[in-house]
Amino acid sequence: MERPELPAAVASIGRREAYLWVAICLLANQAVQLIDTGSLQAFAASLAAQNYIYWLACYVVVYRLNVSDKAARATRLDVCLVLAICVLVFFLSFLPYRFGTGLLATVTAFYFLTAGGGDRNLKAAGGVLLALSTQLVWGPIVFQLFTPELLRADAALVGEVLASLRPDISWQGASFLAPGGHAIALIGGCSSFNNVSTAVLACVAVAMLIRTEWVGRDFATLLIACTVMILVNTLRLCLLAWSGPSHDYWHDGDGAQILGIAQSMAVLLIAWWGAAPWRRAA
Amino acid sequence: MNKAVIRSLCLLALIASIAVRVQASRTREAMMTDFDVGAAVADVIRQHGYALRENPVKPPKVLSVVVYFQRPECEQVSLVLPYFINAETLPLLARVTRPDFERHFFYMDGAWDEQSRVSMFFEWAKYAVLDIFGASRYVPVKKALVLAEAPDCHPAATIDWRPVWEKYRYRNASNGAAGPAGT
Repeated sequence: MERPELPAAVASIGRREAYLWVAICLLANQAVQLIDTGSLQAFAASLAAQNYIYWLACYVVVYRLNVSDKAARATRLDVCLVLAICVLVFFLSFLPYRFGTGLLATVTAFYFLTAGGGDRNLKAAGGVLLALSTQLVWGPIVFQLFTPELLRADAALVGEVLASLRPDISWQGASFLAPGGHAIALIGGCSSFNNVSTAVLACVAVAMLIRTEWVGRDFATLLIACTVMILVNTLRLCLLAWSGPSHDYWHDGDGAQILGIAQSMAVLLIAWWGAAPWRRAA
Repeated sequence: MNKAVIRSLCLLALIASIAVRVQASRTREAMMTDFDVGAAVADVIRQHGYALRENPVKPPKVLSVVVYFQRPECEQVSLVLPYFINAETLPLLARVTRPDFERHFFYMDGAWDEQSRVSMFFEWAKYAVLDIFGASRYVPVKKALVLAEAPDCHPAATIDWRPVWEKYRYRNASNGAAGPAGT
């Protein structure tokens, strides 16, 4: 059988494969920065401490690219961009910060969103990649610039709850002092901003795993997930401020794992509930 | 372009970037591990001839990182609190100082009378970029210092805090640690 002549503007590689190469280069480079390869023990510990919602989002990007139009060929522009991004990924690997890869992931996400034409799978992959780069790069930058303001907002919520439940706990700024001398000061890791960021990523990833288009209800789901995350974090901070033993249990003991698992499960359930096909039919 | 060439280039970029990134991350991690801001602050204070005072607060309390020292010309002790540049340090500082204490913030080349998070962030970004090319004299860590002193304390000499972040300190420390094996 005679092979048809390819037009000049079309490369020999498929568009799906070209985009998969870019996504894998970006995600693999991001993954290296999240995993400690110093020793086997450190590697295992870093695996255990992973944010599995992040990995779910990575899977969704690859999955959506993989089921995108198999017949579409990459244009020369596609190939040039793919190679340029791969070369930039290499040069940015000398930079031991997430920013470089995150910036490239954002650019790639916009390319997927705009260059896909009518391919909704590519748009879905672009949306999730954008959420991933926001969670890894842009969110932390915003957080660094506004940490005290965000912590004050969290402290205000905790202070209001404690004022009704434990009026004997005094609250000043982002610090709480219990009568027995037990005191806590909120720091960056205590902020619900991190939980909200994860909630957004979970809602985007689960929605785009189940389907390829946004519906109005997704924003309500997002709002509910973020609210639940803020409330759970407020509850956690109240427990930490409650007393010394309570702090030890919920911060360093089994309680920390229980809360971590509960938060992940809650956000995934909300995201799935919001994105489930039966809800759309209803 | 040939399919095999495109695949080879992408694969090469993938493998090379991961190899370089693993190495870059390890180097950075080693640098961060070596960076002990408390010890660096204590060294700088000693180099200026001031006596260190013991901190009554012990780890893991947050305030255990405060470094106290005595200037001979001042009645009360002065203190240095290392903190992350994006953290709000004033509430913490208020727990170890009186409200009338004078505060000065230091981070690499910069010095401020008020906590200036954005300026410090750009200072960090500048040296983080320079560090990629090996041109940064400082370790690009996000730890700044706040110096608190009594209002009646008028020191004769100002302390240059920049050596706290200078790279040569850590290179010398590493060489020193490896030194005995060669003698």
